[in-house]
Amino acid sequence: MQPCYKSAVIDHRKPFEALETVDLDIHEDIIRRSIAGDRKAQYRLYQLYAKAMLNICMRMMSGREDAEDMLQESFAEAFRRLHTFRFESTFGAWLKRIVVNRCINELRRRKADLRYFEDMHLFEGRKEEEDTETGLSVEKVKSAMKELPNGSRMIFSLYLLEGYDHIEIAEILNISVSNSKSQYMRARQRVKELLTQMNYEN
Amino acid sequence: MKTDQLEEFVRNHRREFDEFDPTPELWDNIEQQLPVRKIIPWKTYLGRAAAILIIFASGYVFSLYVTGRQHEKSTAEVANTTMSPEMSTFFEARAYYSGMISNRKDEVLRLAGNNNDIKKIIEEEFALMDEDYKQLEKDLADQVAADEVIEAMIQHHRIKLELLEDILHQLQTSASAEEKEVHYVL
Repeated sequence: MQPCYKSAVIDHRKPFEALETVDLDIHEDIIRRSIAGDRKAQYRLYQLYAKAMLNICMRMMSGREDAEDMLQESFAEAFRRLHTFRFESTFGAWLKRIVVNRCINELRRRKADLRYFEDMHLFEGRKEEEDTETGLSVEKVKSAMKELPNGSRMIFSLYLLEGYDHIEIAEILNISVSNSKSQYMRARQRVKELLTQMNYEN
Repeated sequence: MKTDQLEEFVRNHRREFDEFDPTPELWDNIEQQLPVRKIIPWKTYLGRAAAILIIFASGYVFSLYVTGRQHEKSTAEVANTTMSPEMSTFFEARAYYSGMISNRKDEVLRLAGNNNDIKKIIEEEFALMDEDYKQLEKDLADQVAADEVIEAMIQHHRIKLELLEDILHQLQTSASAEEKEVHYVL
């Protein structure tokens, strides 16, 4: 579906959010019909967001099966609570928060250990890796992200891919805002180091 | 601050980071968890509402007497705004059910006597239901899917009434059982 850009000004810091804002107007009718219990509209709404939400689950949970469980539970919850959606935020943002909270709650329930960078003192003195203009690829970034401690990777994803700011991330992960910021900086630095290393090896 | 090239790259290729596709079975599982929607055509519903009103006409007259003040209020509401026929039917049904509910509640409380547990259960159940009802009132104000909302509101009254009638039935059964028992002992 070709999004019709209502506003010419799109926030480039959060391109994904901007797209969701545009989507809101297009999907309002589907959302209202879904609230009324129209199964076809519910399926359409699911189709529109399932892929993006599954990928968020994949980044937060460890395996495909867990991610799919979280996706199913999140959509079931979203449809149950859809009548409380007041069109004050975008539907995508509302749904995404349900998905992220579901995943975090499940990890907490399992007492999963979120690991973060602990060598922050070493990092503070170090000069940030120079940007490598060439050799950047989605595959390389993804494989570098896999090397990050899981907690730090989550912060990296929530900020850069899911578009949350550090205040929101702090709230989601129950950590301090400054901790979220410094872990993000450290994760970004580590990804760059790994990318340089990959380029060197090639 | 200088734009970070890594960040810029990731944001420009954001969609490519979503590599996994959902399988068709996922929706089937979600659908199973969704509430089954009862579709009652509006005309059928109107017919039913009318039938209920006719059948309980005498009860309705009685309820007008019992809920005189409440009814005055709802008729005032009807008069003050330009109501759709659905809305005025709804107000009539609401007045009818409110009357029946308060009637049954009085009866239950009379039979319950000193049994505070029953009173407490009713108060708690009704308080919970009233919370949901407030939400419905808000939904009605939104004027979205008004017929569904009205249906749910009427359902709310019906459930209250059914709950009271169940309790009443149980109280009456146990009362007559006690009588029989007393008779048996004598």
